[in-house]
Amino acid sequence: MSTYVVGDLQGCYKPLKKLLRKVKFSESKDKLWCVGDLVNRGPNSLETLRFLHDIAGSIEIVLGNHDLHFIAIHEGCAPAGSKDTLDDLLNARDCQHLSDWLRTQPLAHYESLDTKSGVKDFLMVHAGVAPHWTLQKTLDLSAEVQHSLQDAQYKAFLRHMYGNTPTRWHNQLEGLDRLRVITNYLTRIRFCDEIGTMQLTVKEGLASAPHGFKPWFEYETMTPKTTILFGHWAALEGYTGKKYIHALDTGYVWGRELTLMRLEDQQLYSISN
Amino acid sequence: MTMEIYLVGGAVRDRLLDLPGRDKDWVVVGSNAKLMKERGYLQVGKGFPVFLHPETKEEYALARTERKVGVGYLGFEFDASEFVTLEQDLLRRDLTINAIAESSDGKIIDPYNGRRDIKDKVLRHVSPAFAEDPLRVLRVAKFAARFAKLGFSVAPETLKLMNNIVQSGEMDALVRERVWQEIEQAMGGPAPDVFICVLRDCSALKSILPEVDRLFGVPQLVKYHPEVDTGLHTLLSLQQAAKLTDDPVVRYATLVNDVGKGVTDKANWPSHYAHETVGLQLQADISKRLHVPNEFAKLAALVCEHHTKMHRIKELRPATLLKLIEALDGFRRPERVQKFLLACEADARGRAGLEKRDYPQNDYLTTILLELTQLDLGTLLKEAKPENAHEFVQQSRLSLLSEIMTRLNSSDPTN
Repeated sequence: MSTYVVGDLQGCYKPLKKLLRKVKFSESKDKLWCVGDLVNRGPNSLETLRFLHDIAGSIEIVLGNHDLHFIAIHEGCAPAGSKDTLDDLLNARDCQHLSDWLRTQPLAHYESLDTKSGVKDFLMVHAGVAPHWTLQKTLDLSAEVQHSLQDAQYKAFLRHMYGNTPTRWHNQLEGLDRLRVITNYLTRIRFCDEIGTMQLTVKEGLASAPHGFKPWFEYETMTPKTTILFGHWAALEGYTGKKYIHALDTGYVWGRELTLMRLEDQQLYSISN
Repeated sequence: MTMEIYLVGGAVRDRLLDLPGRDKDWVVVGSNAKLMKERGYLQVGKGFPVFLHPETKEEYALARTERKVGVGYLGFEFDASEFVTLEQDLLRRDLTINAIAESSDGKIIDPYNGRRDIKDKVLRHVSPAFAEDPLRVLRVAKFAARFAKLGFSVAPETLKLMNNIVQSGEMDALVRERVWQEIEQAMGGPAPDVFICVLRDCSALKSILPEVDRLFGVPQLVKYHPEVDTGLHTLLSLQQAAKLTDDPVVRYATLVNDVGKGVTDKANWPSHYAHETVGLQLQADISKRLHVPNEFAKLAALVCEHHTKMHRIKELRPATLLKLIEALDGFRRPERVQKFLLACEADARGRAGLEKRDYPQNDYLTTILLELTQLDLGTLLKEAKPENAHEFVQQSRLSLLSEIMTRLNSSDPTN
């Protein structure tokens, strides 16, 4: 019985299937964790989502920025962009069903697992966390967004989740600003400063850190000590320099690789585009 | 895992500062809700990791990594548990002097150098996590005021962090009642002028009380204000008010007394015609913005409108003086007149070189009011016709007032 985590799929159905075959993934015995960005920019968003929905009992997913973008477009809360490849999904007859299913998913997943080096706490988010968030706080705040995606005002949230300000978390934030900030940390963050001010325009790798900013994981001090799994930042090429923090997005949709990792022994598997 | 109990926070700090004891706060490491309840501690609220000692009723909190621990996703399973260490608990506190613990056998645990900062008289933040709570900008200013007479100052790095918080616009996100609460507490504590100074040093004053911030750099007539700068005058007045009374209502009135001078046309400097009237509107803006309680707002408005007149009270004609007393509702609210007088006295003394000047206007009005209120209204009203009872009372008061004033002025050697 193994638990696997896979990087950003972004609608790349075929490599996912190949990887699952490679590890002889069993829907009845194994679990697949997805770091989010299941759809968009790749060729098969519809098939990817349908497949994951079909094996919903064997997976854990967290929403990424592209997943939220898809839901927003489908609900009429945002326009599709020229680079989006969601048409097959948006025009499908089960699109509403898939979107509603996605809308119930969390933005952070926590689980304690038995591994080769003992019991470890795992946290999965799409992009990252704010510097001083504890595990508890991350889960509480993620739950705030998850609930707002399902309550009566969910469209207001979808309409207002875009934007880069306020630029950092503090505990006096309220309303849609608060939800937007939480969502930005969980689904979009790359660089930030010591007090968590996000820099959301730079997407390149570590060498391009703006002055005064570092990757968010240079500041994390999560308590209790937690292994963090995240995707979103392909330019990292899977490298963080931190034993407890794993970057799973290796940019398959940009011509590179799709990566799968077994949590119990950190064994890596990948497929090139 | 053994349970350990530590004294933390203000109680330890004040003992090290040789200040009188306050409420004791305790942190419990290596325990959980179940164990606490088994030992007879009473849980304070549903889902709160705080317990009351069955006998002393003092507060015992489980060591936790978050200031506010919500019931939320999984209760306080991680943030307040038996696995949270003392150091982790102390790390979330605001200042190093507040992050010292004492064990049950008297040992001091000081992972963030609070004792060094007590010795150096520095208010310093424990970690960058300080910035998570913008309200701390106000709290640090309040601590700076409270410990000013011991010689404490805010560390430059902490001031810089506070400045960053202000520049991010986060002071504007604060709930106004919370902001007012800090202002009121500071006005009621020691050295309220230091509170204002620290806020100005980190640019927070411009965010919270721009009407007061604007006064700095505005000159006044040197003949009456040797200190010249209106902001400085406000701070000096606040110092004088603090000497005269502990009442935050009087001190607040002193703080916002001269806000009208902040919008005087530069062409008229250093004169400020009609700054009293302009000031009333600005004070109304402040009151609305911060939900200032009526008692504070009303006295501030009275002081603003009438302080200049009050300084010249001996020059007023009886009719004008009576109008002033009525504006102050002096017959029905003598205690408020006293507050009004203290604020005016603070304003008169809050000037460079004039700190010790007499303010005979205070006694003058107090005596007048005392004698006027001895007018037997009951007997008077019996003599009056019902339709002009009011005018009759006015006239009687006026003639009595003229008598009193004549007597006082003739016996006044300086006249």
